[in-house]
Amino acid sequence: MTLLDVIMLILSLLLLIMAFLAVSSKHTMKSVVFLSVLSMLSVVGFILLQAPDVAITEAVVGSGLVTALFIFSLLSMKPKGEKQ
Amino acid sequence: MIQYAAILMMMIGLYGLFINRHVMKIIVSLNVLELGLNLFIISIGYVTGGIAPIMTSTHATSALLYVDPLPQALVLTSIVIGVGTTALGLAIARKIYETYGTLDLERLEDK
Amino acid sequence: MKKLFGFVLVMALGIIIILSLQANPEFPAFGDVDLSDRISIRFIERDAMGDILYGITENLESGAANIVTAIVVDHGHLTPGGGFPGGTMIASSILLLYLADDQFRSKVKTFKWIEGLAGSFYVILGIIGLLVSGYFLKNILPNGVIGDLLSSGMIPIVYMLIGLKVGSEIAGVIDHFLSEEETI
Repeated sequence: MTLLDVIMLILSLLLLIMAFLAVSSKHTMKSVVFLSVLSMLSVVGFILLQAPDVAITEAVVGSGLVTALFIFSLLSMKPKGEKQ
Repeated sequence: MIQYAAILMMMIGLYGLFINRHVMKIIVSLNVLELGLNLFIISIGYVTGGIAPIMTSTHATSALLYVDPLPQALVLTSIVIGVGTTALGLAIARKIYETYGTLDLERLEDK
Repeated sequence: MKKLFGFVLVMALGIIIILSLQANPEFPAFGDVDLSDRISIRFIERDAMGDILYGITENLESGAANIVTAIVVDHGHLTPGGGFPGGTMIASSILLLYLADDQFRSKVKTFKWIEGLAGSFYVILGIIGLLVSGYFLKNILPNGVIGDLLSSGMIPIVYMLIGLKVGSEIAGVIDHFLSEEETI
């Protein structure tokens, strides 16, 4: 059990917990925030698997474009107050 | 260890597609499914003790110490296509809200 | 009740997939990929004998911070990056302009022109390769010293075209999304 194995184990546990919270939470805004945190954790996973190209692409896409599109869409549909 | 976590993350995304009634949560579950799939494809080509596949002047003298570069080239295109799919889904969700006034799928079937 | 049933079903499907992957003799264990017949051995042997020249890339950053995206697109064959991340960086910079100013509107017609021209040039380069010799997208410029900016054939030109196309396409989508008015 080297240090790399321990870090990979902790990272996979965090990934699974965040994915379950993102899919089944009662408020819509919380799901979007958990999706953004999940994208950031997967960038750390890509770096540990020695893939720098994919890490740069996922960092730019996951933090800049997808989160901004979701939040702008949610804010422009506000007046009826949609919650599940 | 990351291979098992990636497969379980794909299954959690699929569970989210079944169970949700709100259209926005369905699009979030679709994104979780694509994240798990990309992690799984890259974790196939990992060599224990390998380095990133970039040739510099202080490099390895054996070809077997580089991580496999072929899955990384395939995942790059897949990430950008995921952005396009999410944008299309959000445009359709906004159109549903303008036409029917609600985003709940069970009340939508009665109209 | 429905949630519990769905969860058990999906986890059973996941465990079936994991067990069937482990029982397959062709699926390698984690970290044991056999790469000896894919990466070319001759290139590595010529390299160990000292046959291939290496240069050094200098002066990698210069100027203001707006040139970061151009450098990431342009040095795709030397550093991590290339066409796809550079294109999304261009779109993300236009998103920042939208967030900073409320009355900013970009010129959508210019984006459509650039996207069409970049795509057409890519196909024209491929057909030029087809007419000169052999097959589609053949490498017609000379490979130089590894590490220079103008080396490795046609790859820098292809990366620049891909970066322009991806960037202008996603910037057009962002412009259509963020310039809508509020409903009701």
